Amino acid sequence: MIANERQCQISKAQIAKFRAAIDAPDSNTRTLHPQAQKALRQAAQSQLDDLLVEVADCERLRNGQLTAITVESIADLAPALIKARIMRNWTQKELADKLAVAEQQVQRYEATQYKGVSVERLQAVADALKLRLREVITFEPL
Amino acid sequence: MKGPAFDVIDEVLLTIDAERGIQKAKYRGELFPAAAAADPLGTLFRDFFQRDRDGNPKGISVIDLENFA
Repeated sequence: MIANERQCQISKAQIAKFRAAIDAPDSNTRTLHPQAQKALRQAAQSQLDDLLVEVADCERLRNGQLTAITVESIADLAPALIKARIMRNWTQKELADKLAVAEQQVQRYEATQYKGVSVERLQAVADALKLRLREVITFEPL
Repeated sequence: MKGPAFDVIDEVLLTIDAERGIQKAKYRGELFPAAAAADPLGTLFRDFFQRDRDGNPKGISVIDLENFA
């Protein structure tokens, strides 16, 4: 997922490139096998759709159109913390200041999706972001 | 003959739907055509996958299927 404004801008630039390539396929593609032409077209469209969803998500987060994040598994917690920072409109530096760590530390956290970070640390990040986490644990049939 | 033999390739590998769902369901992975070197789309994909979200260059592995024993 997109974690900051810069990434959002980069994705927008990629959208423009994919759109341009789809709208004006190179004449060389006509010499390709029809299946290859079709695969290329579908691939570009599929990637473009991914980018459009990501940028739309990023803008919804930034515009404050979301007020809560649903997390379906512990693995979803890290992306949720990144989203929450964006929803707060905080930079990585601002979160780092609240946690009293260097900005690079938060960059690392987010670049690795909080990999290897202790539960206590995740809670500290949630606290810094002033998030209220409410877990629902249900029992699946054995 | 140069290039893939399309008549023997699993249709699933050539079906690129939303989020490559059909490919992922069968192969747990996804395939993008990037070898059409002369085409801007092919080049676009190759370049796209060699940059991270911050625009920094990242490495990719090349598996030469023709010489893959």
